[in-house]
Amino acid sequence: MQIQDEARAWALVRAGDEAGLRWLFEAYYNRLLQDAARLLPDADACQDMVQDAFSDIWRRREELDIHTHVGAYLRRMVVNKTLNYIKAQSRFAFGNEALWADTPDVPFTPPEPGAVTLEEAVRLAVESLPEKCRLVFTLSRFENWSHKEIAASLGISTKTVENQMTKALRNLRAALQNRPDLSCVIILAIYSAWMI
Amino acid sequence: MNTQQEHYLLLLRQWQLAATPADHAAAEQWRTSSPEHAETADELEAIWKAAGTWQPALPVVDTEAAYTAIRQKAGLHTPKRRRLQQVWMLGAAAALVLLLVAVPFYYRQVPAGSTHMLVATENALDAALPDGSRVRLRPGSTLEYPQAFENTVRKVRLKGEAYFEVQHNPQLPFWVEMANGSRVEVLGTAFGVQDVDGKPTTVLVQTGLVRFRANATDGGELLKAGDKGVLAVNRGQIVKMHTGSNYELAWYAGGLAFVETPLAVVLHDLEAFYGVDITLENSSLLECTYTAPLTNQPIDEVLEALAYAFKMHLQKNDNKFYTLQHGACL
Repeated sequence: MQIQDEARAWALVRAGDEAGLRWLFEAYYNRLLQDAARLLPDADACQDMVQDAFSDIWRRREELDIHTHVGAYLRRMVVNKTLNYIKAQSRFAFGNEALWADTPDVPFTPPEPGAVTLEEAVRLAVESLPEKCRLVFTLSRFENWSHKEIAASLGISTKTVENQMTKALRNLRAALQNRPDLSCVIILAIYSAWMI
Repeated sequence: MNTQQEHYLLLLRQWQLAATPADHAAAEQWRTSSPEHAETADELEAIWKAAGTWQPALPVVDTEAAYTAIRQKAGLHTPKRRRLQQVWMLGAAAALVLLLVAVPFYYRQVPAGSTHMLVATENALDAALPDGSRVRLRPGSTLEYPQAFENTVRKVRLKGEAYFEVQHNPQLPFWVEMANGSRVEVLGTAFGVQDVDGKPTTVLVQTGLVRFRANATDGGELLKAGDKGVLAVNRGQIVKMHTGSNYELAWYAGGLAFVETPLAVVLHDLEAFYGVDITLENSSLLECTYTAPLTNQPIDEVLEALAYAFKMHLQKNDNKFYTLQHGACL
């Protein structure tokens, strides 16, 4: 159902009918904003990135040949734009492996298990990851990129990606391991997965 | 290589569905080798899954503002109010109008001798009217006009498309009449007209002031720079909207002009008209508005003027690619 509507919306866009653009906007804007915000904790910049993705597909509607779903295409655009933005903004040279090696695990004091909900504890734990570690983790966990893809996109070795992934797991474990609700709540966990 | 990392990577590959049969075997072997290992594996998997529920905190989004921003970035024209005073000033300089006529055309022949009939067949036709006004007719178009204009009004009849530069004369209005009874009354000095079967009558105003009436008794709509009037035949009414750009007129006028046009639209039109690629680095400028008279200057000069107006730095990468850096709204 979703896919048919999406295909129709894209057909409208292709025909230059703005109603299609509006449909895609209603369907995906907030979700794309979430995707960008996981990679970049700057809400304004994220809005820009997502808006650019929409205006890009409109401007390039005649030349774009989208075989996958438009939602997935938009998501990929947003992620790539956000990564480019992060690279451009960062004084940190991504390809310089030495700078990846020496980021120490952050000492993070998890809140008392009763003090915050699991959802909140997860948010605190993930957002406390070192910047680069969080970036790599997000690309893997939420964008389902392989370690190889992440390495290629950031210009680092697969080994460095692996180091960051294990670091992320270590840190998350330190932040969440003593929560009694962890094992039972995950069964009910609502995934913010894309229906694509 | 440290063994903890190896085990973590084994688990990761399983969750990421990237594990080989050998990985599965190794993970299973590690897991069953001690109760602590099994506990660690379960705990890490629970953490991996729980982490998947992470929703970053976002401020409440103004959805309509976001959509408006997308429209502007996409070069979709947004209706916008403008100050009448400025329009009058521009109106004194020039008025450009484009008309598209849709209704079946019943061209009424008027007695020959009293009128001239201009017919453009294969090429565009440039001609002068009795009052010194000039007209450019597009191929396939006809224009009928009297040998001498009346004392009260300058009337011409058009079928097809034409661009006019009308001699300014406030005492003697210039009318373009269409066979469907609609007409354009031009108060300024220059305009273009198009009248084509199968399309709704449309008037595009570049600069200046024009009244577009559905018929002789209709009050019509006063169209200002950047406005577009469409004759809704079934309602017998003119519907007015704003485009803020003369891109549709560029063919006739031989250039582009902008009146309080958002920069997003300006750049879009320049790219389309000149076939270039312009990058605006400072996206906060997209909503700034720009006003520039009709011009058919080379693109370099147009962009230099634009860069100067917004205190931007213009960088020419090659013949087709330009970058505008820095800058601020006027």
